[in-house]
Amino acid sequence: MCEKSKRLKLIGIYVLATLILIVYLGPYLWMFMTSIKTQADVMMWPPKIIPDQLYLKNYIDVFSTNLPRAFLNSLIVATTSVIINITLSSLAGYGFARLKFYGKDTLFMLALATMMVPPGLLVVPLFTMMKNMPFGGANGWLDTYLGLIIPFAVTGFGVFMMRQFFLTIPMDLDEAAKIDGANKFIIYSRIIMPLAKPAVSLVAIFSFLTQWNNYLWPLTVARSQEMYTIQVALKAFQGQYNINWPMIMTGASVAVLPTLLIYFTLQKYFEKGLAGVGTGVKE
Amino acid sequence: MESRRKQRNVIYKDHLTSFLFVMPAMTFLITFALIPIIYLVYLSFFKYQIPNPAEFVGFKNYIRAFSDGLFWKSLLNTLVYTVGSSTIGLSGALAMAVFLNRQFKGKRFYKVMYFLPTVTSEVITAMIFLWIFDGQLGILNYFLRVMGNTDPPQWLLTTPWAMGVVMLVGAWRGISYNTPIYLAALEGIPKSLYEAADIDGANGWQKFWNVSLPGIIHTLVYTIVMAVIGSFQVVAIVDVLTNGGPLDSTLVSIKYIWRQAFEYNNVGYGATLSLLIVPFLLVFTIMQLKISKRRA
Repeated sequence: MCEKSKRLKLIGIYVLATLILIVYLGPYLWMFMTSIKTQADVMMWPPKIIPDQLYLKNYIDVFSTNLPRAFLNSLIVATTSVIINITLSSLAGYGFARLKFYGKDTLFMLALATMMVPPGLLVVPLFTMMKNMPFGGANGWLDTYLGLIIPFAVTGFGVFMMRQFFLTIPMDLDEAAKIDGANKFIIYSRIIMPLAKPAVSLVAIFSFLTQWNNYLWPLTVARSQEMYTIQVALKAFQGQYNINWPMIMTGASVAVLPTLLIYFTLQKYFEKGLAGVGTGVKE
Repeated sequence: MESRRKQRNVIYKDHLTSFLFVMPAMTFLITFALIPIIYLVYLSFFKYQIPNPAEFVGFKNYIRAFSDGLFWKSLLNTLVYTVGSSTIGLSGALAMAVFLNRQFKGKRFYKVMYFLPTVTSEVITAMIFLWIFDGQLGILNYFLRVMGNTDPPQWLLTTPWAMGVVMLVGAWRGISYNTPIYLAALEGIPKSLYEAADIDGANGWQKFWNVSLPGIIHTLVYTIVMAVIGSFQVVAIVDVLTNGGPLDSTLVSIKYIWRQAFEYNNVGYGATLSLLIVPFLLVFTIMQLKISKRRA
C-alpha cells in the first residue's frame, strides 16, 4: 500500500513535470517548427506539427530584409554597453566597497535610488535630452549609436553587484599590496579585478540581455530603419509580413539565437545571480 | 602646525583619488536616471511640439489630463493587467518553486528550461503567442476545434479575451523569472525546521503555511514590489499582441503616453501623463509593503 502510493506520487510528479515542459518548451519548439515550413504548409488543415520536408529558404530570405542590419546594430549596442558597464561599475563598486571618501554613503544611496527609477517613465525626458545633446547633428543624439547606448549603459544594478562582491574579498589583500607600494588603481586592476570573474560575468550577462531585449528605448530613439535594433526591427517586420507566419517565426528564431547561446554557455551564473537579486537587495 | 596641515592635505588628496573611482559611473547614473526625473517635472508644464520651441502653459497639461478619458482608461487597463499578471505569475512561480524544491530525476533539466522565457525578449515571446492564439490558423484553436468547439474565440480581436491573453503572456514570463528567486529562498530555509514540523505531525500544507511561507516572506515582498513596478510599464507585449486594441481594451499607460508624446508629438503632455502615474506606482508599492508587514 505504502509502496503503491509512493509510486503513484512519483508518477504524479512526472506527469506534472511533463506538463510544465510542454507549457514552457512547447512555444519555442512551435516557433522553430513554423520557421521551417512553407507558407502553404502553415495554411494546411489539419496542421502538421512536423512538416514533411525541411524548408530552410526562410532563413535565406531573412537575409534580404533589414533584420541582419538590425541584428548587427543590436550586437554593437549590447557589447559596447557591456564594456562600459563593466569598466565603470567595477571602478565604482571598488570605490564604494573598499575606499574612504567624503559623501560616500550619500552617493551610494543615490546609486541605489537609480535602481528604483522605472525606465518607462524616463523615455519622454530622455528623448528630449537626447535631442538637445551636443556633438550630434541637428537632432542631437537621436538616431545615433550614442543615443542608443549611452543613457542605459551604466546600471545601478551593476554598481550594486560589483560592490557586494568586492565586500566579500578580505581587506588584508589591499593592505599587503599597499605596503608593497601599490597605489589604489594598481590594487584595483591587478589584485581585485582578477578575483572578480563571477561578478563581472554576471553583470556582463545581464547588461547584454537587457540591451539586446530592450524595446521601448530603441523604439523611441531610432528614427530611421538603419538604426533599428533587432527588437524594433522585428516589430516592424511583423507589420510587414503579418500573414507570413513562417517568415515572422524565422525572424524571431534568429533574434533569439544570441540570448540562447549566452544562456546555455553561461547558465551557472544565472541562478547565482537571480538568487542574489532576490535575497541580496535588502542590504 | 606645518605637519598637521600637510597631513590634512594628504587626507584630502586621498579622499579625492578615492572619489574619482566612483565619479564616472555616478556621472552616468545621475545624468540619465536622476536628472530626467527632475526634467520630467519641468517638461510637464510646457506645450512642446517638436520642432516648435517649448511654450510654458502652467497647469494646462494637468487640467487636460484630468478630463482625458482615454488616459484614465489606460490607467485602469494597466491596473487590471498588473493585478492579473502579477497574481498568476507570482503564485505560479511559488507553486513551481515548491514543486522543484524536491528531489527527482531530471530536475536540473527543468531548472534550465523554465528559465528560457526570462532570457527571451518580450517582443519575441509575444510573437510566439500571437501565432499560437491566432484565430484562424493558431494551434490553440486547432486543438479546441478538434475537441469539439466549432467556434473558438478570436482571442486577440475580442474583449475581454485580448486582455486575458496579454495577462497570460505576462504571467508566463513572470513565472519563469520568479521561480529561481523563490527556489533559492526555499533552499535557504534550514532543514531542521521541516524536521521539527514532521515530529509535530504537520502535513504538507501545514509545513508550507507555517515553515516555507514565513521563511521566504522577505523575498515574497521583494518580488511583489518588483512585479508591480515591472507590470506597470508593460508595453512591448501589448504592441505585438494587440497594439492596444480591440476598442482600447489593452491600451496600457506607457503605450498611451508614448502615443501622445511621439505619434501625436505632444511631448510636454506625455511628460505630464508620465508624472501622473508615479503616485499610482508609489501607492501600490507602499500598500504592498504594509500588507506584507502586517502578515509577517
